[in-house]
Amino acid sequence: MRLLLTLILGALIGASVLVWMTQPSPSTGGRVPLTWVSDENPLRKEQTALFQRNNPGITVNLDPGSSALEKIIVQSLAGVGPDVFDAFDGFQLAAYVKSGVAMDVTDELKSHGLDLKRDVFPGLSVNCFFEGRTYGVPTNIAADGTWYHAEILRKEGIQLPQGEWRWSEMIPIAEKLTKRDPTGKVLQYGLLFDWWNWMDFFAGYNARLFTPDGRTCIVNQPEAVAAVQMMRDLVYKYKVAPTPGEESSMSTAGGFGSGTITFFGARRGAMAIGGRWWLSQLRSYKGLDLGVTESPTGTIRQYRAYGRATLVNKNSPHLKEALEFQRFMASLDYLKLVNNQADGIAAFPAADQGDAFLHNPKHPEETFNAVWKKIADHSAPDEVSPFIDAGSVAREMKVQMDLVQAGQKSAQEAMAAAARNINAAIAKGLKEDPALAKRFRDLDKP
Amino acid sequence: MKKRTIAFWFLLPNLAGFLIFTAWPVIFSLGVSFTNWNLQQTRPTQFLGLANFGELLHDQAFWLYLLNTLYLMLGMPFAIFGALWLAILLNRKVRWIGAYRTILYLPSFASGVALMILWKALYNPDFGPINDTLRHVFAALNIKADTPQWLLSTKNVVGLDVEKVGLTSTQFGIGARDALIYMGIWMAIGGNNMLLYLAALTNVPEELIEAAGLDGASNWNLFRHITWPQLAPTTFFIFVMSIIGGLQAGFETARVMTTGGPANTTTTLAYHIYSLAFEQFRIGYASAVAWVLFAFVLGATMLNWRFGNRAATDF
Repeated sequence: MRLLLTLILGALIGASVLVWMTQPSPSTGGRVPLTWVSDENPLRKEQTALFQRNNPGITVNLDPGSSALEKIIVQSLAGVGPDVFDAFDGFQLAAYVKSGVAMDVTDELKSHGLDLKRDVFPGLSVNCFFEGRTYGVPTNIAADGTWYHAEILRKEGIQLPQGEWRWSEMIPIAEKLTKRDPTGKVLQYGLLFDWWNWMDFFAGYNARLFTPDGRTCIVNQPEAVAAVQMMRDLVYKYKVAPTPGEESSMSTAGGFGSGTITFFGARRGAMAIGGRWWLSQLRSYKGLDLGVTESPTGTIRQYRAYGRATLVNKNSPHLKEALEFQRFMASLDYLKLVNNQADGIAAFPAADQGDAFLHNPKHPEETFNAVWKKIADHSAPDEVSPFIDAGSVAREMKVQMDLVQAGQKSAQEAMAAAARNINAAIAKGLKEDPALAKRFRDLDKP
Repeated sequence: MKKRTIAFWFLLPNLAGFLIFTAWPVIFSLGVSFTNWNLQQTRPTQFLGLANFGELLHDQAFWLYLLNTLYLMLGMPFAIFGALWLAILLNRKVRWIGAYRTILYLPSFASGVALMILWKALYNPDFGPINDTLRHVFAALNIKADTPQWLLSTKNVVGLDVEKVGLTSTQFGIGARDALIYMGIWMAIGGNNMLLYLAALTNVPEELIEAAGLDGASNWNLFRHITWPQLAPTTFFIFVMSIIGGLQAGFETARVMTTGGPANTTTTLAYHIYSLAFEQFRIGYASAVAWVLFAFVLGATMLNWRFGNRAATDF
């Protein structure tokens, strides 16, 4: 028995040594492997293929399974992080920088003649820059417009305004387009929108999260209250958008871009607020006759800008190749591909013009690309405060928006509570961090 | 001596795994709980003494999530007695009993995540079969009432407030927390507790039951005075394990079904620890909360050991 067990132990040790000795080399076939953590958008494969064609010495392995912020940070700090990864907003960028994961590429980009402040949409500044230094190269920009099913609107004799318009004009149209069966069950919503995208409503009302110095949260101001009130009214007063229950039934499918997009694609909504990137899914629907116009706003022609930016892991063992990949995001080849794929629009306005941008020969039915450019031109970045991390703000806002969405709080009550709680969190942070408190006080100095 | 050496070498791989991946992180987290370690290095890591534990006392979120955790444990007695009842049914000598046992235990083989997704669909307020059935029942009984919003509502049968510790009439109703309790009861009734009771029931001496039966004892008295005392050790074990499990629960359901919402009403201490550590990167504070949770579990277990076994036997 003892002999048998000893033999088993010996065999296990021998097998382990064998596996260790025969594991494949990290640079298979002489090519350097890069791991890119991005979302699970199917368009990424074509993007990596293009890079590999231009850089035959590098293989890019896409790893969408690790795309959560916490996974990237923990893996990177443990020394097994990806070489390049994407940040989707200012909060993520700040988290990557503060945790010491993101590489400062200011000088690197400058040495290659890239000036992001000059060359990309200003709405993307929070995705690229942190405290004056550059970390991310934006890979696309998304600013939402209003999608509509042209044939549904034609049938109703409705023509949507082009350019700037207001919610007061939208509401009667959405009411006309909301169809119910005799029992009152909604067959078609006038307008679909995502509650997580409250910042877009804020932008249209010129509502501010913070005072310009970032020291005080002011979501209790009338502009922000009006923005949230409009979201609530669309659901409960005008009844043109889904309630939380109806909305939850849209998001059970899972996967990339599911939810509101599939609901809209299935014509359960006549109009929907969303980005050009929706086409990555909507193109697969047969027989859609789509149109796009700017979204209605409250008081000002302004939309929320969002998008992706690619960052380099400063501890990557393949820094040279990782930087090469990051710069590829600013190359004309890549920008053209983004526009052709409709992965938002290219983050560099110079690429978003001319016939090649306006008319995609593969999709002649998409006659609205100029509208997306105009929306991006009028887009504004998310607000961030140096005195509180954007994640804490997002969490607090989510709690309050949940209560508004469920009809349990008025917009005014919710925004008053949000401002109170966020300001309390700022005060707590200042108490715990003397350096931050000094920076806060220094703003008073002339 | 030689035997001991050989045994040590055989145990070493397992022991090394335990020491590296369990014991060391546990000890490490205790040390970390006395620091301000934050993965977002906004300030240098410092030793804070008991400051994290002090902060916790005044942290409203901690108490709210502890309350959520305790509230979700309200289903525990129903789950335990449901499992006992099912085990008694399955202990009968009837035809096809093996098939019944298999069918009722089958959900335990299914992935927890799959079951949660299933329940999420069942709870859909507009298209879910639960509300569909309720609407028919309400219509048949001429009841004018709205069906519950289930996972989308912050309401609860006790009326717990959402943003502060306390009760409020505006939150009285049925909501996400209750939905998770009902699902938890369903998942627990046919699970391992039922199997444990079934095994224990087969060990109840037949002759005791026969003798009492001959003396004219009713079914209730047979259960009350013979079966139940014989099951006391099993009940005690199940109770202790349920308390431990209940205090540590809520992570999977929050991750899969609710993301802790709506308005954090389904965020439990376990999910809060995850959120603190990996969403807010406050590793030091998260470790302190984890150790307080450990203290709760230890305290509850010790109380059970002290009083629980006797109470179960004396009933």
